[in-house]
Order: sequence, then C-alpha cells, then structure tokens
Amino acid sequence: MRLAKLPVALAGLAVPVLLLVIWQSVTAAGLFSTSQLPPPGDVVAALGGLLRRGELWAHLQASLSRVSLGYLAGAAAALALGSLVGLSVIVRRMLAPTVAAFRTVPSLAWVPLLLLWFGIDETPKLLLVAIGAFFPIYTTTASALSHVDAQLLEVGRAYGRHGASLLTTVMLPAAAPELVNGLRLGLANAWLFLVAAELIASSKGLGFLLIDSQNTGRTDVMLLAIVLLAGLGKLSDTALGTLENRMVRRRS
Amino acid sequence: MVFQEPRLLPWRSLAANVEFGLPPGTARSKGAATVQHWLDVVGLREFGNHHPRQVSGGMAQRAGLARALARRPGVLLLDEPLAALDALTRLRMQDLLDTVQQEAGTTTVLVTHDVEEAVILADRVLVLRADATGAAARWAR
Repeated sequence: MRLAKLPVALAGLAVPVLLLVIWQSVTAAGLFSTSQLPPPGDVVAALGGLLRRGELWAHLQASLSRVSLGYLAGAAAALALGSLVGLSVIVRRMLAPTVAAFRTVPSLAWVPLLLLWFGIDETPKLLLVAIGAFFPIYTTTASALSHVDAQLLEVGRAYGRHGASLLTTVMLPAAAPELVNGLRLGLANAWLFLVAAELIASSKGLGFLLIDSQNTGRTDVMLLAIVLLAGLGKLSDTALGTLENRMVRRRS
Repeated sequence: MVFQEPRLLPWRSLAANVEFGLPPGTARSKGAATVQHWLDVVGLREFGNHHPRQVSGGMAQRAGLARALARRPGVLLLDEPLAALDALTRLRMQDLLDTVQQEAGTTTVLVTHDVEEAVILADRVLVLRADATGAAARWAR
C-alpha cells in the first residue's frame, strides 16, 4: 500500500507508535537505567497510581482552568488591540514598535515581576498564561486586518459601513481564517507558558507535577506529565484546527 | 453600486449578500421579503443559500445587482458590470438590466466601453474622452 493512500489519522499515528516501539526496545535492552528512562509500562503504572489516589484530576483541573482562563483573557486583549491596530494606521505606527519589543521577552523573565506585584496566588499564573497567548494572537490579528482585500473594504464602504461596523461586518469575517490560525498559535504558547506559570509556588497542576517528580526522582511521573501536556495541547489544537479548515473550505 | 467584478462577500450566502445591501434599520421581516423579491427579479430565487464559490460569474454578478437594488438607491451606479462576462451571459444581463431598471425606476448611471451596449440600454449617452487638454464630454443623444 502506498504511504500517500493511508488515511490521515493513521499516518499521524505512525511516528508516535514508532517512538513507543523504540522506547520499549531501548529500555528492555537495558541501555538506560530506570531512573534515566523508565519503560512505557512504568509510566502507565504511574498514571494508574495517580488515578487511584484521585490526584490526577486535581492536577488536570488546575492546569486546564489556568490555561482556559489565561488564554481567554490574553486572546480577548489581543483581538481588541489587534483590531485597533489593524483599523488605524496611526495607532499601528504608535503601538507596533513597543509591542514588538515586549514580544521578545522570554516567559521566565516575567516571573519575578509578576511575583512582586501580585504575590504567589493564582493571579500571576493566569497573567503569565495570558501574556503567552497575547503576542501571537495580537500579531496575527493586526497583520490580517491590515491586509484585508481592498476590494471587499470598498464594498463595505460603498454600502455605508465605517469604523466599528466595517470591522465587524467585513474586516473580521474576511480575516477569520487567519485569526483562527493566530488563536491556534496563541493556544500553543499558552500551554508553554503554563509550565512556567506552575513553577510559581504551585501545589497543583501538570507543571507542578513535573517539578515535584524531579525533586522526588520519579522519572516515570515526569514523563507522564510531559505526555499529558503534549496530549492536551494536541487535542485543543485539533479543535481549533478543525474550525480553521472548515472556514477555509467554505471560501475556496 | 455594482462593480466590474461581483465582489460578493465570500463568507455570506447570496441571500446574505443581498441582505448586506439593505438600508440600515430595515426590519428583519421586511428585509427578508425584500431580499427574496430582488433575488426573484434577477432569477436567483433557488440559489439564495448558495455561496459565491458555488455559482457562476454571471450568477454572482446578478446577485451583486440584487444587492445594489436592495438598497433602494436614489442613483444606481454600474461600473462596467458586464465587462468580465462571456458574450452570451452579457446579452442576458443586458436584458436583465433593462428589465430591472424599469422595475426599480431608479436613475441608473452605466459606465461601459461597449458603445453598442450604451446605445441599447441608455436613454442618454455621455461620451467621455481624454485629450491633451484633459477630459472632454459630449452628449451623444
């Protein structure tokens, strides 16, 4: 059977399955110690242990709520500011250089400042995730709105749309596929910043599980946390990716 | 206004594109009736739920015309609306424009490079020509 004819879902599973086989083979051959690289079975057993003790749901819930709330806040701010920049050349010239400068600040560089201003509660964690989500969404939104087809803009203006009404009835719908792409990038960044956020005096969450397992020498739990982060990130990305594909298909 | 290309909003159905042309503040029920009326006039009644990518260039241009008429404009501007169409579709659209203009009773300004089209459709023809001194205009009849 030609590889090109494989269903998309099956083709996507090929590499993870191959990695799993390599992992099992390498650990069975004793090339690494258990503390360095435990076999897949140990990771599954760690999952079972967390489930039996009822700890896994608490960690998942903490991480999911932080990502959700932080992402929504960051996305809302990014869409609003990106829309303003996309609508107005003057605003773009004033804001764009400053935002571009802040975009290059690494996630961990924000941590001391957020701790100083907001303490060690949930607020700095949510803000850090929001910051992570903000920049990709803002950049994509501003760019997409400033490149909307001029002919469509002319149609909007010819039919009496200006300012906010032009934005909502023509510009945002025209740029919707690009906006959703930006939302996907923002969501991926939000997950990245989540781990940094959960390093801030956290007692729950997948990021905390990572650090805690490092301190207790539980490599199996560490790998489990990484797999769960990858899986949840992939699931949320697939949801937005499906939406993006539907939007593109409807217009082409 | 009707442009040389249909310039329909690709994310809206034909009916929703015509609705886009309605005057602001139009009540929903009245708007729906107006949309259906003008789709009917341009022969697109069964295609209201189709999207621009699902119809031909001629059909899209007819939807553009319906959108312009839904506005109930004081003056209807047609900027070479038939230039991008094939010969047969252009002939049909000329008939349609004539019918629609009589139905709507709207003052219509048609910009065209097609002399025959101007003579067939217009009550009055203004010839514009640029020369060394700038633009010159002359009424043909």
